Amino acid sequence: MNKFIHESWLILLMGATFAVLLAGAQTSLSGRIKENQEKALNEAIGAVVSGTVTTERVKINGYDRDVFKCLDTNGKMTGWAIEGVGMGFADKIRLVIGLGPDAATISGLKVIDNIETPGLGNKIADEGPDTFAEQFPGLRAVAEIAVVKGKPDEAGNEIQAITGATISSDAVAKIVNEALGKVRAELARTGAATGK
Amino acid sequence: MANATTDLQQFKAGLFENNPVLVQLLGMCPTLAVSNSIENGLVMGAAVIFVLVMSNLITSLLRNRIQAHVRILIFTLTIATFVTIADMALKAYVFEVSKKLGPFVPLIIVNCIIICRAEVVAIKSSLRRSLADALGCGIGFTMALCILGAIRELLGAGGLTVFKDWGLAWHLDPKTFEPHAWVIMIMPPGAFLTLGIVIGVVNQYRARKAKGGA
Repeated sequence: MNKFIHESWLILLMGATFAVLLAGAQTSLSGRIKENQEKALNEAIGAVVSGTVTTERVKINGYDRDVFKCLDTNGKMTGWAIEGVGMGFADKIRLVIGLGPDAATISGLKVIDNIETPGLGNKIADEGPDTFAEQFPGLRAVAEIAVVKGKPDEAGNEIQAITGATISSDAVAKIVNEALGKVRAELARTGAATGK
Repeated sequence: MANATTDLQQFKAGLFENNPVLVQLLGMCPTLAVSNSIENGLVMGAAVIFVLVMSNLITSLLRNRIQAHVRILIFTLTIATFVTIADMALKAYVFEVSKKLGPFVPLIIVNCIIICRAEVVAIKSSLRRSLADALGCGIGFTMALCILGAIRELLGAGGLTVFKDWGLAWHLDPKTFEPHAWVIMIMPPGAFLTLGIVIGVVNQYRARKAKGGA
């Protein structure tokens, strides 16, 4: 027993001290970390559904990700924001899709998390004019989105893949199609009932 | 490093003639993985400097009480604690970069540079010497990462971005640059190519210096 204490007192003491240190760091930083994550999500929602000031979480049967009903300052509905997650080229891609109040048209798309190849696949997260994500506003949410390599057909529900990053482009379209496939019926129904 | 006589020499050894990455070839995993931009290198380097300093200081402080056969356990315990703290701090203060570094921050726990410095220097040196050594090796690691990151980012992305929010960014016009981008440089093969060339240049320089000195 003495030998045990003699050999291990330092480790036990260090373990206890470090536990206190870690608890301290956790307490002082976790609020900020959570704030960062929420801020990133809220900024994304504001970007895909313009005019949004407040959001309400909605539960959609058969869809386990977050869906938000977006409202402006007067409580008037601005649209829907849907979280989508799926596998990209390197790791999971997390994004937010914005829909109009009637859930018929896409109003925007923003990728929140991705570690796709820098310079190629990570262009899915680029912002501004002529970017990949800018092709989504205006597309129909009631039909599947197709990815093409050339110039997209105006009449079709098409987007053009990023050169050299077909897998990442396809992944984004697939995430959007899957998410919309699960939520569009119910959103259209709720939107028609409450959106007016 | 055995013949370094002053704390200053110990510090400089980590930067140049004993640079952990370019001379000792330690910590290759994070070096290859996160050297695709100068910003990743800086943030990763800062995290490693913090952990290295804390680990060396604590090891040096307790060096007369640590039982030889459990020293690795104590090193790992210390390193793991401070890596966890560093990881949380990055998530709290540089959220965007910490997302890009992903799992490579928690992986500092098994970064052999840190355990090597504890074993080679801190366990048998004074507090000041250990601190000088940690700063030297940590800054040496950061420098190597930034050199590789800068080369890869310039050739692959056509410019350098360091903390976009602070306005420290310079880029060629993407429209003119993009057709000529060496995209491979920011992908994993680019890491091996750049590291090989940089180490080759460093070796050439050292060989020449050794010849001149003799």
